[in-house]
Amino acid sequence: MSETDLVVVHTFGNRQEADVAVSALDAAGIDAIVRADTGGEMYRAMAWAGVGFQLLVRRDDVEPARAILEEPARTMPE
Amino acid sequence: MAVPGRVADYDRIATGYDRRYQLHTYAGVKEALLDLLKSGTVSAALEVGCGTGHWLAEIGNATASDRMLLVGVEPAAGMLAQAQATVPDARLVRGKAEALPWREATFDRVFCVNALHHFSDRLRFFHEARRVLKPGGALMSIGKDPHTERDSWWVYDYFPETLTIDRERFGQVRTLRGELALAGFAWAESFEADRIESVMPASDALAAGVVDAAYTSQLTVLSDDEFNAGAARIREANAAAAGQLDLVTDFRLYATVGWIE
Repeated sequence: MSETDLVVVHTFGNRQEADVAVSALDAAGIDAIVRADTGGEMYRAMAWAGVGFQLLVRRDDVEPARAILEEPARTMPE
Repeated sequence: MAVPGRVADYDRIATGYDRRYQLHTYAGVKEALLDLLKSGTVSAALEVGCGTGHWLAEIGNATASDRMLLVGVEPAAGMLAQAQATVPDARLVRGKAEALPWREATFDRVFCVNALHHFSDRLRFFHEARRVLKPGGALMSIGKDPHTERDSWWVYDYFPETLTIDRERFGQVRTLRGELALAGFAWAESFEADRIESVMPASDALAAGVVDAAYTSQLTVLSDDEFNAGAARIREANAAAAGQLDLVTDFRLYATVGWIE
């Protein structure tokens, strides 16, 4: 993924939530990455106190990603 | 596991489901869950078949300072709607135990309470739990073992179909351990997590709505005719005992834990 194709679809307050969200998107076939300034993982509180843990996906995947992230209880694949 | 034609409609009973937690505290279940979740480093835990979110709320309250992410998955939309109101901080997902919607190695712990017998394919769920667990992770399932002949329960006494159905739905605890091994868990253990004991006057139970299909899934899966016949047996026995009949509950809940390397 090139940086210019990526869109922030959700921002989480902590790494655990962001990681589980990436896992859910991955299971649905959507590539995602987490962007956070943690000082090279030395200071996780930097991200928590700043813009949080941003989840980025390709522009084409924004809609299905948001459906999974924001309304996970609505649909269930058969 | 779930018996065809005997599947509980949880969307129908969601609103009355939590009545059971007013009758029993399930302190042993809570202790077993907290022991599991507080052993080692646990950053994310998944409850499969989270229902109304009762256990996610209990755990969330007890682990508020641990910064543990709690996630619940549940197929019944009605139950999930209750859970969203009960535990707004938990991440709740509609999905099936046999197809968990996460990639490999996502959770440190997976657990289910009184849910395993509803899953359509228990072994497949064990494989799924193994898949989404991180190295060193563990799965705990807590539930009855109606094969032991150690329990007394008025539900089995007055609704005799329920025991037959339960022996089809529930695996023996030792069977569960074997299936965990088949699914790739390195080792498994079982222990008695809780013992539910109560004696309730039948008159009170009838008046309080305890004799209700929503009280327990054993009654939920019965046909209306089977349920009504059992309720009639209780009323008749109570009348024969001049209103002094007691409904006895004395059964054990077992925790079976599988660990992966």
